[in-house]
Amino acid sequence: MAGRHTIILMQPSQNRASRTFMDYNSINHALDGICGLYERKIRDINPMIPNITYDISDLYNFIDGLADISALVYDHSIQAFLPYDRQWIKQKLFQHLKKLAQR
Amino acid sequence: MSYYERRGGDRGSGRIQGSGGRGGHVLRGRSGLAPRGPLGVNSRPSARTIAKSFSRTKDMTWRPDLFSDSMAASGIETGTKLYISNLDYGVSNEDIKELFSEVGHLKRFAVHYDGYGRPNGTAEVVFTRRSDAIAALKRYNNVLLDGKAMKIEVIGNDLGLPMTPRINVVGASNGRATRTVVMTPEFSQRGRGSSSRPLSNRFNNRGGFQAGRGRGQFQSWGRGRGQFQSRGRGRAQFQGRGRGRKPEKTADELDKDLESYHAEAMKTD
Repeated sequence: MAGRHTIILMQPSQNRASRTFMDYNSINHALDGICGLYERKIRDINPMIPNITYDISDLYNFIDGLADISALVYDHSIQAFLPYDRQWIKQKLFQHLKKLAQR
Repeated sequence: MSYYERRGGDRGSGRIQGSGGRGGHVLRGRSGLAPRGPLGVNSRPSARTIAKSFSRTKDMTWRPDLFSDSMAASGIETGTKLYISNLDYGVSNEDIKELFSEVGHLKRFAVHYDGYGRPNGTAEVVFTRRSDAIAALKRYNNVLLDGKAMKIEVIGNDLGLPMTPRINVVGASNGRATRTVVMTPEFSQRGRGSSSRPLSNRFNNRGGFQAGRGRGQFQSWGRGRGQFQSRGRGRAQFQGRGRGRKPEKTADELDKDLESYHAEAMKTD
């Protein structure tokens, strides 16, 4: 579904000061952003590897390792953001990546 | 099918209440601190406005159909079904419940019978969470029950077991990376997924590494969750393949990595 403004609220570690947010124009862009977070982390750990590859289970473990993560998706009909939890994010990630594979 | 629809609605209601109970944080613009109010965009710190925002949250809690529609539109499946065969004819509903409840919460369980009321050696179990279903599959598949080895398989597509996405990122990390996803079979000896791989498509992920319109940092005061309270759900327990380098780190090390990584990210922005 295109054009649904999405805000990702995230607390990477137990430190409350690490709380941050990111906003995207659509759910798909938000999911790409979450993948990008993990990929950037992998590159920080292995800076010399030109190409990286990972399973979705690695991405799931990364998301489960965050202290907190949730999403707010704008709904035009009610002119408000709907909240979604971590499990929803993982399910949407699977669907999103599956679509990319099928193209 | 109406059973699942009802369940979906119930789950939606639960999520709404959870969100309301936690209390919201309002952000004005992209950086800086904003006054707090649940689901309010331009709320002010006056008690009256905060009370109004809370009442708005309460209004949200009484619209479960909205969430069930949203979940139906998103295609979120409620529950993961396991199909159990090669059961002894003496296995009853209570036996199935007692056995699989140890792994996780069961949404439904039933032993199958034929037209004459006799068990036909098969049963089905629906778990609320997919991770519990996969844990039960690993734990009980080919395990003897009343002298016969159980055969367990996951029912339905899009459950992550037959085919699981594998993501390849080619190129530098300055935003020019290309993300390629291929579906690789997992647990193929148990599932019914095919071994052929579909054609992969390249996806230019230019905007993925920049966080959309930017990012900001905020701190919260007042009511809210405890500072060191971490909210953990069931972990997805897939077994990854032995490809690539997968550093094994403890949770504390991962937290430190994330913290330092996040500090770097804030500096670059």
